[in-house]
Amino acid sequence: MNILIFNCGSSSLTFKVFAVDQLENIRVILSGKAHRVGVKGSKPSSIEYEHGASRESVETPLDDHGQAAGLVLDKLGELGIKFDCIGHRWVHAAGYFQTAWVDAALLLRLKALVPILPVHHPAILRVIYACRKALPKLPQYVTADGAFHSTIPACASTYLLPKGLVKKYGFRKHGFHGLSYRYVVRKIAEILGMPLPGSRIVACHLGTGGSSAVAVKSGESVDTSMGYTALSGLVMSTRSGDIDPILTLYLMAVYGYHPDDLMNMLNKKSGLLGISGFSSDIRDIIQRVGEDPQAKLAFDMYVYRLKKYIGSYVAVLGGLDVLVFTDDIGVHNWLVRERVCAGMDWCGVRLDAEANQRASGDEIARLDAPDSQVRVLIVPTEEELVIGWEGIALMKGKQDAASLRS
Amino acid sequence: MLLLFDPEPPYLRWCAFAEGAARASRCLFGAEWFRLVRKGAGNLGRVKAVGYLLRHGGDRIKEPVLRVTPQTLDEVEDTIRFLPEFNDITCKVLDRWTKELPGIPHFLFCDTAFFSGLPDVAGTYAVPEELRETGVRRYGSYGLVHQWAWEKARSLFGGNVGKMVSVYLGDHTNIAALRDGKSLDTTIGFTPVEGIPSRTGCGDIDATVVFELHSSGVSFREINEVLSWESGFKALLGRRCGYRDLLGGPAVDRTAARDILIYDVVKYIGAFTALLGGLDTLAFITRHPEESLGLIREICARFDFLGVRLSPDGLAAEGDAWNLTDHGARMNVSLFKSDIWKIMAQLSESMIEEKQP
Repeated sequence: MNILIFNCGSSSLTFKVFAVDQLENIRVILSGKAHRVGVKGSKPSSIEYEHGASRESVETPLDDHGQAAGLVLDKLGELGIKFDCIGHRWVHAAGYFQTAWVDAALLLRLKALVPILPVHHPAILRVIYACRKALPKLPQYVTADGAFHSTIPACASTYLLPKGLVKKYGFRKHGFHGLSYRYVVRKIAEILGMPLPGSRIVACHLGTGGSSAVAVKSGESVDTSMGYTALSGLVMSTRSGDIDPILTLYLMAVYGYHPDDLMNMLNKKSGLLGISGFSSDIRDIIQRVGEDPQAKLAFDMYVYRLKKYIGSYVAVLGGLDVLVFTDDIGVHNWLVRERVCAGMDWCGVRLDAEANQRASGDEIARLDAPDSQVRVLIVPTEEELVIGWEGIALMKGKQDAASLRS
Repeated sequence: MLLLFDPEPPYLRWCAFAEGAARASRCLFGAEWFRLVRKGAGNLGRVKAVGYLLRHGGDRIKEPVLRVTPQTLDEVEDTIRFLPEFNDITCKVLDRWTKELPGIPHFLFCDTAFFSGLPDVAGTYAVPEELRETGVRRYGSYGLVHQWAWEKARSLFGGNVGKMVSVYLGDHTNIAALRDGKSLDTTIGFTPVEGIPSRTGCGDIDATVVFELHSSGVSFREINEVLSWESGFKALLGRRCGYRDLLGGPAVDRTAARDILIYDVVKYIGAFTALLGGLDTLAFITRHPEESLGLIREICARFDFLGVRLSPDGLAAEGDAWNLTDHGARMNVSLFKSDIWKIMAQLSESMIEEKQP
């Protein structure tokens, strides 16, 4: 059985074809990524493919994610690669589903979820429609990114707002990066041979766009830094992370900021970019820490906020067994890890400075010093694989149902 | 006698403080407030000073106590935009009583002053400079109480306070991280709405909530009303939503409210321990020590892994400071009974003793 996975970023589209054998071993047949989808700029858009030993990159205009998906499907046809179903990452399901087949009823549900993430969700819908158009008979499913956080207890997920509003709008902590965390937690258990029951893990998904942290007890999410949307929590590349909600009212009511403009500033012009004033890329900022006080403040705040979250989760978990870093910045930026782990003796974290600097970031690595009570790791994440796991379970359910009928 | 004021919208709390004892009362801050206070205060000839608590000092007032001068009213007026409901009361009360009793000293107590020296990493919001220039930063509050607690901890533990987390348990529970008597961080942010949910304030939420409410037609004023006055424990418990309501009985909603309070306190103690790089002293402050002991034990039990151990004994009846640390435990835990009137009175006395400039 083969499964095609699509994973929409805000301006990219990652795709993978997995081959699954009888024992449910998964192998990647083809992978690739469409870059600068819907981005008007000096650099051209392109799609890169990796298929066996061959790699190629095709420059092509990419107006939207649907068009990009159509081109990918054409290419797969040319290469003669077949697949039995298509899986998509859905970002925010508001608790309605974890994984579900796409049918007319679900499409209505997905459309209703567009306003929650007005950039990501329409892009995913375009990809789904492009697939339906090209391959009308092929089953498609969506896996919700936030479902991993459905185990967060009420004391951590509740926003203490009037009950009527909570009911009407669904205001609560949802959390994100769930697929990434599911993968990382499963990998940790495998690598360390650690039984999940009773285990206490803090995972930090530090991306070039969004970042979050999660507290994981016995393999289940018990708290996470992002909230109702991806705006809250850590200092991110362009998102502010936690702010006093009243300060938005102050800026709008006293200083006359338009709500749309302010919302845009908090999501697109804040975070590292907002503090440093020149870049949303932590690598640029690190380079100028020595000479530019704003760059230094941006870097320090990034580390400081993350450290606070790790501390709060250690307290929530009543101690710590594993601290893990994932996604681009998490696996590739040794300085961030070094600074975050400094002074964390109190909860048993001791980093092996050399191992930390040496780690390539392309593979799983242990970074804890021999006398560290906490195991510290980097684990490159693999969201598509989790969507694949979900697809296997769905297909199995379908086959079981078919064999029952026959 | 000292006449002291503390805004608590829609009320004005006030007290006549004499010979170490506070005669406190409260009235609705309406048209009648001045008449009521004047009637209750008795012989105004005995008043030797008047004190006003300012909950939010804005970006200019950075002294915990200052002697009111003719410029002070303007300065207080300028802070109203930061916390309108509270500061408007302080402003009006100050204006009225400085006129009523012009011949005696008047003191302004600023509850954010203690946090005006927060390090930039803690005080700054990660927003563009353009927005930061409007005065958007973390101001904290309840600074008078936290500063007082640090002094109390020093005398209780003979100076060995080290890295301290100070937890105020009350209608507006909030926490501060302290080192060498200086504040390093606090849960309250730009306004007291941020941080741990309070009696009627929502605490930490995703700011997108504000935009979503506004885009469906709710006005700024109404959103402020909802987040500041209709949320927090009131959203869960209805009218009886004060700190002491959370402490009693096993009602389901009350348990849920208590769980949230404990959870958030535990989270922030952990966060502040991380930024301090460890913890030496955990100090609890409350107006209701005896009733809070159960809650404090529950919170401390979660820090068993850090070596927090409480003595099984109850509180000795006397005093306002108790050492809760068990024999041989390495973490200091203390409990202080706070009384904002006493703190304001002490500071007033020391100001009166100082020579007039």
